[in-house]
Amino acid sequence: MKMHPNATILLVEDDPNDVFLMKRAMKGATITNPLKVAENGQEAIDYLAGTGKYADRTEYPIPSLIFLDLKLPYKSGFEVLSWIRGQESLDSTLVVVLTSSSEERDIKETYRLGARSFLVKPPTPTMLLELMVSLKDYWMTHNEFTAPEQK
Amino acid sequence: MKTLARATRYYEAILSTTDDFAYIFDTQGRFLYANPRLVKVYGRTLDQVVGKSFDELGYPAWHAEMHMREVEQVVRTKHPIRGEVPFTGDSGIYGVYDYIFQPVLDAQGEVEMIIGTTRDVTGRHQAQAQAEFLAQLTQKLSIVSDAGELNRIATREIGQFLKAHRCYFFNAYPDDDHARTWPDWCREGGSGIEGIYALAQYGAPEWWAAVRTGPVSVDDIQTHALTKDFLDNYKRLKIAAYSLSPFIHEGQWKACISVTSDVPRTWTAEEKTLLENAVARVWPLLERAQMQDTLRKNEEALSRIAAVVESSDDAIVSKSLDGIIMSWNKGAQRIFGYTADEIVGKSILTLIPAELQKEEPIIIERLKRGERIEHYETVRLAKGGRTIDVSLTVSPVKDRNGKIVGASKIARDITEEKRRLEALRESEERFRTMADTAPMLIWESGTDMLYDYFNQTWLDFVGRSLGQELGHGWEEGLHTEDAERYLEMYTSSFKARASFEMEFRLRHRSGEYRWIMVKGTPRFGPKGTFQGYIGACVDITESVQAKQTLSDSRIELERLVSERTASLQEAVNQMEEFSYSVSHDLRAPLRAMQGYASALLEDYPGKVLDSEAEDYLQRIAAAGARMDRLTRDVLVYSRIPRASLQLHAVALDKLVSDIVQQYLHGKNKEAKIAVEMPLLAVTGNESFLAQAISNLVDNAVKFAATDRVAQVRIRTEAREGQVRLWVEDNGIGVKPEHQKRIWGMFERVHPQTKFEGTGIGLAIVRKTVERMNGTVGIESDGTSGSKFWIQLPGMAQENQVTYENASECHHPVGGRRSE
Repeated sequence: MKMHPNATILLVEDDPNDVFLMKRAMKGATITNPLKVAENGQEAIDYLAGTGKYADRTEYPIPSLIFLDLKLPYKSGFEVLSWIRGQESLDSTLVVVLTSSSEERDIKETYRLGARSFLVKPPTPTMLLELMVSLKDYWMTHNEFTAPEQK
Repeated sequence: MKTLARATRYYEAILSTTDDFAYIFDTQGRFLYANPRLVKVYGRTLDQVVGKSFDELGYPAWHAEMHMREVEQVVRTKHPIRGEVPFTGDSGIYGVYDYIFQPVLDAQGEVEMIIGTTRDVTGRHQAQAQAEFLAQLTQKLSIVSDAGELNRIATREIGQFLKAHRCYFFNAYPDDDHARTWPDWCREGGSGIEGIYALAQYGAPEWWAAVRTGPVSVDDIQTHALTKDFLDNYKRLKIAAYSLSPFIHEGQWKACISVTSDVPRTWTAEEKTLLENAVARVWPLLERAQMQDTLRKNEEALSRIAAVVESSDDAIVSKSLDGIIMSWNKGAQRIFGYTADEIVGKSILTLIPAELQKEEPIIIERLKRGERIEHYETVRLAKGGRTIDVSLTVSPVKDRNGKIVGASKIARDITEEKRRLEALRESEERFRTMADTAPMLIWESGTDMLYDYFNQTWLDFVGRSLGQELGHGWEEGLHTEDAERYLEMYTSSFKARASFEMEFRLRHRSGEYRWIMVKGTPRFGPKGTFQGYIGACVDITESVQAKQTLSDSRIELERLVSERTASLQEAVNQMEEFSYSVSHDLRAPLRAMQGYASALLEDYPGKVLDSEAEDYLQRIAAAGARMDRLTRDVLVYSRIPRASLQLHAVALDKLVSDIVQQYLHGKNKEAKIAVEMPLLAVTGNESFLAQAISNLVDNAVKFAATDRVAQVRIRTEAREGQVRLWVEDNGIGVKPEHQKRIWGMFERVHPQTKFEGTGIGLAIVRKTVERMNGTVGIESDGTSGSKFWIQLPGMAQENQVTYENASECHHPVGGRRSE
């Protein structure tokens, strides 16, 4: 099953500029999936756990794809990853780490914690667009997804 | 008639009183008459005898026959016959008779009758026999000089002759009431009587008084008045009868001969006479022999003593009580130099130095008191006046009566000995002085393992007296933790007679325990005999403390080093943090910058933004991009020294093709990149290599000449175990004067406007290659292109992986060329 066009994508990113650029790139790549944003690690966990306002799953559905930045306030990307790994219900959720750092240690850790991909944020918007196009192509079109469990 | 009658009476008187036998018989050997004596002997009456022949009278056959023959002979020859015949009469006494048969002729001259007379010549016989015996005995004894032999022969002969049970001599000491018997001859063999006997136990005093005057004999001890009280003693010696004959000299009873019988026996006069003669003759011989024996023994003893005296090394001198030298041995000559002739007869004072001459009277006085002076050390004079150290022993000489008549001096030359002792003492002295002044603590122990000496330094150190330390006393100062160890070492070394070395703590007089190092060595005497141990000790507390301090310092140093390393590590970590931050935090704003600039350009083309505004935005974007690139390159560069590097075999073939592929794929510039296969493999790090080669390829294309198509050629060549990778381009080249600079950080030869670049690219190449133990270089004429090369160790061994870590970044591993 392909990723449903309505499957939610969660972007975990604290830098509003990067959020702007991501949205722009995704638009440029015609990725029309609903996009939700968590601004820090704790928010991300809350969203995924469905605590507080995020209990409303119609408003805040479980995402099928998470773009996760590593450098986050409150809880780091690694902590979020770790947490996600512990959640059975999120087993089928794809996590793509999108980050500025190409530090080897981050890469290793990321994969160890179960993210499927590690992508360095390209410096130019053009490159970011290209990236999004490729992603869309890859996941939306070719890859098989299992539908996330709805709580 | 009267005459005849008188004559007959006379004849009868003679015939009846004579001791001789007188008898008449006819020519047939029949008795016509036998005198009373003969008749008595026959034990008959005259009537019984007359008319009987010898046979009929009980003569032994041979005797009778003999007489008959003799009768016939007399009748025939008309001559008398004289003969001697032994007999044993009724009383059992052995005797000898001398007889004559005398014929009596009738008127016709024919033998009418035979008159016989017989005389008992036993005594004479015996006397003769005795005389012969004694003569023989004397002769036998004359050739014997040994007293023992004399005694043996004499007692045997006499005893046998007299058919006694025993025969022996004894010395008599009547005043002392005892007799000493010589070894006896006994018929049964052996001797059992030798010894000393108290006279009183063998007879009453009167008995011995009698012996003193003349021979005595006892026919039966049981009945004899003077011996019967002493029966037991005699019985023990198996004496039933005995006969003694004394030897008396000048009125003194000196000795006795004794013959004994184990059964009662009557001693004849002849036997007694024999004994008398025997003792008279034999005893002097015995005495003389004994004396000669003694004399000889004395002589032998004397000559032995003389030999000892002569051969002695010591001076043996005898002197009279007035100090005149009487005898002088060879030793004395050797020591003093005077010969016997020169000095005998002179005063002993000749030998005594003037100042010591008063010693002599003192010595004499003591001698007179019978004292003996031993090992008296003094000085004497030799011939010529030389002084000699001597040790004197003086003894009094007594005569037979015990009177002191002189002195015997033994002088030993102790000059040599004294010298040796002096040398020894001096040596000892030196040792002691040395030992006491040495800064070392010295001890000695004997073969019994007990300590018998400690030098002053030791005693001062422990603050105790020698008495306290001797034996095993000093061990009280041994630290309890070291005691067992020390004793173990000492004992086992002692047994093996080996030297040992060890450290232990000894209590100083201040109470503090100080570390001592001891070296114990076995001592041997001049002949190699083991004598014990000597130990020399040194206070090594300071040294121990120094060692401790050193150890502490080293630990401290290590700690400091660790700290420093930690700080360094910390700095490195901080660097890492920094670059980490840089990657995240610096680049984010750059992204934003570029993003918004791009967005503006994209969203507002032409209409809102005029060309100048567009230009500004372009420049913003460009600057942002540039900054990003710089940051990235700086990050790369900074990571190079930090990263822990694994070096392994890298197949350049694949790596270079991948890089070239990616390059061509990514860039849209026209460039011809030719890779000359096969490329040799190198030992390096893949990611670093990728970085370096990428940068070189980048440069090769970037710095192209305007008038030609960029052409890049990549190849490898082997160089003595190393591999050189060439990246050659036909670009603008690098002028020789710049060739050194280009490898530096932020170095740009050309203005940025002409060629895009951060100025870090080649620095990164250099740094990465250097970290891989390689070298870099460039060949260029400055116009027709550049030939960049990197050189790395070839593949020395398959699958060898070496490891460098971060802390070594400032200390390059050998083999690398420095900048």
